[in-house]
This record gives sequence, structure tokens and C-alpha cells, in this order.
Amino acid sequence: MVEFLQQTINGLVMGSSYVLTALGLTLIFGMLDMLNFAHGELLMAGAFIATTLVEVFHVSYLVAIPVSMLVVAILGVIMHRLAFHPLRNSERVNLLVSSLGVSIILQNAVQLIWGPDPRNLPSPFTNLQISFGGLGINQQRLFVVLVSILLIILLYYVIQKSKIGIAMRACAFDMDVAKLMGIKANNIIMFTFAIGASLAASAGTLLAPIFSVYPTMGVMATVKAFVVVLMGGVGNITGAIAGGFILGLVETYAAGYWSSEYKDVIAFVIMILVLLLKPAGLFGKQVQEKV
Amino acid sequence: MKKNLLLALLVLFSIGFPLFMSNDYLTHILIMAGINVILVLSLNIISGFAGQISLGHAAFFGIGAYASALLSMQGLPVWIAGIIAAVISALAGLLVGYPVLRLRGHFFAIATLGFGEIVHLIINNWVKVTRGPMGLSGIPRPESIPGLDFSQKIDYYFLILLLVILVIYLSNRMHKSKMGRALSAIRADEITARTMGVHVAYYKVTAFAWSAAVAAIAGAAYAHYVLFLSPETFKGAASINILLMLLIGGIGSVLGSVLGGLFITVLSEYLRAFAQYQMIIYGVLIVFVVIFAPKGLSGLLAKMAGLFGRWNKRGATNISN
Repeated sequence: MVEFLQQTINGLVMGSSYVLTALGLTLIFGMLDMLNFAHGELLMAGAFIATTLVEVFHVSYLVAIPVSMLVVAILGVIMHRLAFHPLRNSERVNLLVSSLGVSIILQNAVQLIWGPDPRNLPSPFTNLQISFGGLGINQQRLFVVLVSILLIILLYYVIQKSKIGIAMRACAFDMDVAKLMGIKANNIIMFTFAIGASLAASAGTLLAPIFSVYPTMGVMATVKAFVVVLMGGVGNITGAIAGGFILGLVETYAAGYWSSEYKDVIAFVIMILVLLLKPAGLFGKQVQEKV
Repeated sequence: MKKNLLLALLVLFSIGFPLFMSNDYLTHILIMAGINVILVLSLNIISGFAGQISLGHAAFFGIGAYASALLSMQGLPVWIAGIIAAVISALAGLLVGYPVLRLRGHFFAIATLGFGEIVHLIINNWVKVTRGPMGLSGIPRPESIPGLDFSQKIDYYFLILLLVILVIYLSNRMHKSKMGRALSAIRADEITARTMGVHVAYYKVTAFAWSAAVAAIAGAAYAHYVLFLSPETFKGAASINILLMLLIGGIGSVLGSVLGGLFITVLSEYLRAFAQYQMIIYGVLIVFVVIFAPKGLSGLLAKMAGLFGRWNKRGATNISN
């Protein structure tokens, strides 16, 4: 029982990072019908920026998180302006390929600046434990889950209630009609990139003290985030939140009770099954495409 | 007629070139370039002809290499092992392609990316069979046939050249066949293609199986040339590299695939001294090509030929005036 609870907490930690990464991805996917393969690289950049802030500039971990989120948000907007905006009228496939290019550039730029070796982001919570009976919970893990849930609620509120959130949903629903209603679509797209990037950065900075920070950490993050997006249904926020936690839990149980080497295979098996049985996502409705 | 003559000259040149410039290093680069060209041509079938971007093509390269190597190490002749490896890879292609290619949109790209990671994980972790990160050694060379003994690099070069010519022929035939036209229609617009009675899923899945089989042949050719396999060769970055070659060459064009494979292989050799900047340069190249030259080298070549043709014609009219 204790082991099961321990695994559940680890699963929630993984799940919350998957949700934070997938939210930005699903927003962009739904709005622009674009796969952004550079999304995981934003998570990686966030982790590296936070590590530098803490180690070189001796900033507190709690301050480093929002600062790196802000920097990465700006990076996300720059990325959109340089690599994606010029392609707004071309085939969708070109956007995908361009994002691959951006991903390679970011990965290798970080490798040039910081070197390929894994690093550690020190956090004040890493070595603290809370225990309930036989169950010991690392405080960093608790911190990850709490902050993630806070961010997710905040995002959900912004998208459902605020004016800019309504504009985002309008753009995702029908870009042309949204433009006709006087929404400045370009600004909304940039804002979406900024939000998505900062959420990815938050996932990176939150997980960094638990796992190590290295230049290729974004690749797997991107792939997992895509699995979550597919599970939830493209553009579906609630679906992405549920999908992320489900994937995190299933993976952690599989690693704990079956095989840790093949735990990454689980995600892909889930993905293939979802595509095979429920292509619109676990929570989506199949929509006939209009011509 | 003129085109055939040009082709014959090109083939003669490819045969003659290493004979006169016998240099092991150069021959080695040409062999690697040939293997890359086969890979790019295989990716072109699914990503160029059918317009479905695959991000896990190194997986089929890996399946071909490991299957052929392992089978031949069990005592099977290399030639037969290579063919069986291609069949295995085509089946794997069917397995991935069938659920995903029925769907429209970007799902295929994601699924192939995932598949690429799975295959790499399996090669890396199934130590009993693949020997994992330690690498697989003791792979036999192809059995010699009359006139060609494959312990010589130059002889292996001829084998690769023959394979490249075969795959080019296959690609051209496919492009001009009923299937090629169906794929072009699918690439232009799936819904319209379906309305016109094209069995979209069937053609996409078939194209993917062919693509996987050809990539596996490249893998087998690689395995029995290098004689040592390591999982590193088949990770995600390799898939991106193949896609890069196709993009630089010109997606959808057979000539472009050949040019792209040759160009990037040679460029990588020259950039070896700048290895740490190489990938950044490639990343920038990808973004630039997509934004400014979406048809790649072959598109530029066609544009130049067009300009030249116009200039020629103008000259002709001037004379007639």
C-alpha cells in the first residue's frame, strides 16, 4: 500500500509536468493546425536558464522560476516571429519542418553554451521529507504538484473567463470569423505562443531539481506532450489535463511494477491504441471535416 | 533521347570515377553517400510522393541493418538475409502505418516519431539479441560473386551503385504508375482524391511499406559494409538527418533526393572540423530552405534551367530577327 501511494505521488509529479508541457502544445495545435516540435526545447531552455540563475547569479530558486518563465515566453514569441510567422500562408507541413529546424538550433545552441554534460538545479526542497506513517514524501515533489495545479487552474480561468481567453478560443474555433469580429489574430497567436512557452518552462524548472538538466531533455518531453495532446483530443484543454495525469500515472505504475527500461514504450503503445480506437481523443467527438 | 544520353553518361561517370581516382577514403565517402541516397529515396516515397512526413525513418534503417546482420550471423547467406530484412521492415511499416495513415492530418508524423524512439529503445535494451550499447560485431561480408569480391571497397562501391540505380528506377516507375498518380492526388488534397475514387488509405499504407522496405535495404547495405552496428546510429537524430537531406534536395523529386543525399554527405565530411557547429548550421539550413526555397536544390536547378532556356530562346529569336 505504501509503495502504491509512493508510486501514485511520483505519477502525479510526472503527470503535472506532462500537463504543463502539453497545454501550450494543444493550444497551438488547435489554433494553427501546427505541430510544434520545438516545444520541448522551450522546457529545456527554461531548465537551463533557471539553473544558470541559481548557480551563477545566486538567485533564489523561487525567484528563478518566474524569471525563466518570462525569458522563455519572450523566446517563444521570437521563435514564432522568425520561423513560423513567415510561413503563415504556406502548407501546414512546412510549419512542422520549420519547427524541427528550430528544435535542432535550440538544442545545439544550448549544447554550445552550456556543454553536453547533465547538470543539477539545486532547490531548497530537495532534501526535505514529510512523512505520514510509513510514507515519506519528498517536498520538492509536493511542490511540483502544488505549483502545477495552481498554474493549471490559473490557465483554465484565463481561457474560460478572461477577454483574451475568449479571443483565443474564438481564434481556435475559426480564425477567419474571429478576424471579422475584430480580433487581432496575430496578437492572439503571439500571446498563445508566450503562454505555451512559459508553461513549458515552468515544467522544466519544476522537474529540474528531481531529474538532471541536459540539452536533449526536450526531445522526449515533446514526444510525450504529443501523446498527451492526442489522448485529450487536439485543442482540448480539459482533455490535455486529464490525459497528462493519466499518462504520468500509467507510466509510473508500469515502471514500478513491470520494467523501467521499457516505460517509455508504454506512452507509444497508448498513443497507437488511442489513434486506432478513438482517433478524436479519449474525450473528443469525431467531427466530420468540412470541405 | 537527350535525357537518356545524359543518364548513360552519368552512370558511366559513376562507374569510371573511382576506377581512375582509386583512393580508399574517397571510395568510402562515395559508399556512404550511396547508402544515404538510398535512404533519402526511400523517405521520398512516403514523404515526397505521398506527402506524409515521417520522422522515424532511421527506425526502418535500423530494422534492416539489425535484421540482416543477425540473420546472416545465424548462417544465412547475406543476400537472402537482406531480402528477409526488407520484408520484416515492410511488415513493421504496415503495423505502424495501418492505424495511423487512415487518419488525416499530422498524426502520422507523431506516430513515426514515437515508433523511431521505440525501435531505438528496443535495440538499446534488448541486450540478449542486439548486444545493446556494446554494439554488434562479427557481421559477415556479402558472399563474393564472380568478378566482385566485397572485401575490396571498390567492389562494394559497385554494389551500392547498382542498388542506387535500382532504387532510382523503382522510384521513377512508381511515380509514373497508377499508384504514383494516386499518391500525387492524395498529396494535393486527400478529400478530393477520395471523392475521385482513390482508395486513400490503401495507397498511403502501400507507399509506406515500400518506403520501409527500401530503407531496410539501405540498412542491410550499411550493416554488411561497416560490419559493426551500434544503437547510436539509429536514434532520432538520424531520422532528422534523412529528412534534412530530402528537404535540401527537394521533397518529391527523385533527382532532388539523389542531390540532397550526395550534398549533405559531402558537406558533413567537410564540416567535420566544425562538428559542434554542424547541427546548428543544419537547423538554420532547414528553416531557410522551408521559408525561402521550399523546392530545395532540384527546384533551384529547375529555375536555373528555366532561366537558361529563356535566355537561349531569346538568343534564338534575336538571330532569326
